[in-house]
Amino acid sequence: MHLAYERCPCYMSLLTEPTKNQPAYRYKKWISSHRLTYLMVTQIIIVAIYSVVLIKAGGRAVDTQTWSAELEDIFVNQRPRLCCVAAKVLGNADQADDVVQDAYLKISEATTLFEVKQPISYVSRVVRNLAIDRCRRSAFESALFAKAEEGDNASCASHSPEVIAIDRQALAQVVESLNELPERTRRAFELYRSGNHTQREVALQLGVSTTSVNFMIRDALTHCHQSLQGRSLPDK
Amino acid sequence: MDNDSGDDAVWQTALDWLMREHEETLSDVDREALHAWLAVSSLHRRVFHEAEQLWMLTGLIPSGDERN
Repeated sequence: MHLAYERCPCYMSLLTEPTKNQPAYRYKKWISSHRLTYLMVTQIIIVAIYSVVLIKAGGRAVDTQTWSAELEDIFVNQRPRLCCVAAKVLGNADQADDVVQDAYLKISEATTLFEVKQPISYVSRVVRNLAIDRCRRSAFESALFAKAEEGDNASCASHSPEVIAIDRQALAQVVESLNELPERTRRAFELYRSGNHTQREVALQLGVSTTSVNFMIRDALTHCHQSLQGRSLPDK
Repeated sequence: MDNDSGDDAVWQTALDWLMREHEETLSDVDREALHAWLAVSSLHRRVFHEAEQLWMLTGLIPSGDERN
């Protein structure tokens, strides 16, 4: 008897009310007592999920805000130094400001995907990268202009505006593709691209030949390229 | 996999240029060679454009040191 009470407390009330022991009543009673439990449990679960979501969203919002402020602070306070980094690559100060502005926009977009703990070195590196890109592109475009003037039908694939937001979806896919690579290939590519090392330096660090490093870098980029080509492109 | 080996050769050449530029400052002669290569066909220009877009994106990924 004692065991029965413990196993099924709701049954206890049925035993103490023998006059109401008809099947229909028992069923109703069972449902009503369980419905209460059921409702209470669901309520608790909903409240718990809701709180977790709220706490997470709140935490994230605070993080994002802190990061935005930190980023803005770097771009305001370190602007002269960042312009210097760009100007050094570009060979003049004319476009340096523009490159820094471009870096700000791209980094704001990109860092919604990553956490950066060393923002100053990251920002400086991105500014330098973008200055190199700018340098190449302006030389490339002026060469195409010269061609066009010669009557050649060389239209540039895209006359992208100088300051352009990145394709965040593409960036996320690139990150994913790099993570799919064998560890050593991924590491070699990271040292080369983000670590700003030469192939020879990467080879020394990893204890492999420069030729292998060259292949690993190509593999990494080709893998990303193929994955980007495979994605469904939004209609333009 | 690139099913067209011609396309793959173009892609590899585009990577050659980006990797060279990453490691050294291209001379005027090098730049002229790059422009001459780009002027050959719209395929060269398209593939190079794709390569440099990808290159730019990879440059936005923080390194291990920058993440920790």
